[in-house]
Amino acid sequence: MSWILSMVVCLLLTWGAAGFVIHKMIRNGKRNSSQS
Amino acid sequence: MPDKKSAGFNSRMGLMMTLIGGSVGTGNIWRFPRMAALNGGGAFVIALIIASFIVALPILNAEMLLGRATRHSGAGAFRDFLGDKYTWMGTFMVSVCMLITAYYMAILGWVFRYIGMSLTGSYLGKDLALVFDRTVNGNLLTYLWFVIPVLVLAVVLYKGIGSIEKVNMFMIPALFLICAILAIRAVTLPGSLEGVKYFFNIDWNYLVIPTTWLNALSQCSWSIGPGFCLTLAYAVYTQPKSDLSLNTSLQVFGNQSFAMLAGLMVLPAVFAMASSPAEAYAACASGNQGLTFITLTGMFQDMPGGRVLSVLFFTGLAFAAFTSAIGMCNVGQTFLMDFGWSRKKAVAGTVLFVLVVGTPSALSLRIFNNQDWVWGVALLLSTIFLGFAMNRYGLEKVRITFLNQPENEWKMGRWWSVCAGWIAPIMTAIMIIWWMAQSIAWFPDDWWDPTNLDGLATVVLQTVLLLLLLSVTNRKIARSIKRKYFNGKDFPEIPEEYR
Repeated sequence: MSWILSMVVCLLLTWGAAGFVIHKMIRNGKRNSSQS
Repeated sequence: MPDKKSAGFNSRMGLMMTLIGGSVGTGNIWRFPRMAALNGGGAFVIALIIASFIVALPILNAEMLLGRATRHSGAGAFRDFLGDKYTWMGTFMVSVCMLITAYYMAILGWVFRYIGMSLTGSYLGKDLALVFDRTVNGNLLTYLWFVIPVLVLAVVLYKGIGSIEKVNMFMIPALFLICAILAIRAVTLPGSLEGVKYFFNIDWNYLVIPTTWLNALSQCSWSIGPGFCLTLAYAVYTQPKSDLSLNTSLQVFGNQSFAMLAGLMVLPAVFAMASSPAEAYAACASGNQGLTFITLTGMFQDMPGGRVLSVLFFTGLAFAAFTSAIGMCNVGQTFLMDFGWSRKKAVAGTVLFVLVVGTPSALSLRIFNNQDWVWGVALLLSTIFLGFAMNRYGLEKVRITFLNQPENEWKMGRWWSVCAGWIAPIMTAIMIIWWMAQSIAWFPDDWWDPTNLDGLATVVLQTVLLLLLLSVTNRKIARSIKRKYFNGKDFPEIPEEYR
């Protein structure tokens, strides 16, 4: 595996995962505020 | 005066920054890059992510639900969740966290001295190993810089959770910015590409070596902090309906993201400034303190704009250490408030403990290293205790009642029960045995001698003494903790006395 592909995998697993969780948090916040 | 109006964390962003601030510490900056370099680069990152999923995330969820369901720090949480006779497990978690805090604050003393030395350039042209030795052993100026952050921390804690939130809201983005600037500088140095390749290249062979996994599990335990009690104590101040699993997930992945940034900041610079890959590898093998205070400091000397970069680097390290220290001191403060102490008295008690117990470590590197070794291993027991607590209460009962609340975006499947109840404690027990076996191999002639401050016997002796003390005081502690909020059905509101 080339180092560039390895870098993409590593960054997706860390920065990508953090970004995904933040996206879910924003969606969750909007959903809960619309219900209350 | 404490902010009477705020009921726990004021905003989701504040909670996010505080949880990330608690986890992101010196372990990300000075340990992760070294471990990645020594354990197959990208292969280590993959092992770390898997370890985070099977150990850190399930145990942090357990901590978060315990704190929020009982509205107590470690001891009170175990008392209400499992009964009086298990209180000692929670008290052990709090005690180990506070003993770690005491020596951890010494790092802030060193870091502030290095910020000063970077500003004045006083270490330029000197033997850096000698400079480090003189800074950390019996140096009264370093001791003063150990005391000052402890006093600043007392003010932050006294002002309440809103103040902790504000400090983290400033320091964590600032730390991100500092790391980003340093990473950009590092990857643009001539010859740095070798370091980037070395860092990211996935050497699959490393994934079949047990030590890669054991090092990843250790990094996961000491950097993200499952069992630290830090998340448990912060959970006391969280709203009953804020999404528990997403909060802990961000804590885990936010921590790993900072670790990657630190890797990009350190490894390309080390490879760019070293004369050969072997020299760069040797620098990474020189230990946390060696890499940070000797190798990197030396590299800053030789780098264009090195003094500014050095000030930035040590300021980032100070922010990382300070935000973690706030979280750890909050464990002690909340523990004392559980006994009905006022916030003022609880802060004074916590700070006094840190100053008294931390003084020997602030004045002697040997004692610092001993305490780091002893309580680092003892901390791992906390993960086993948390796994036991979940098992004893009923893994599925915990998962359905507390983790999968209707407002939660991410519902935990049965995998959580398997990981929290079995995989995490078993993996942690294997890790403890591995560290013990290693210490016997390091000192085959005197591992049994408790006066060998780096041996196995000192760990066993100090941990057993703490456990004996807790077994004697267990009933008194269980009965002295005021009030019970745990109802076994849902998360109670934040009690008035913690507002």
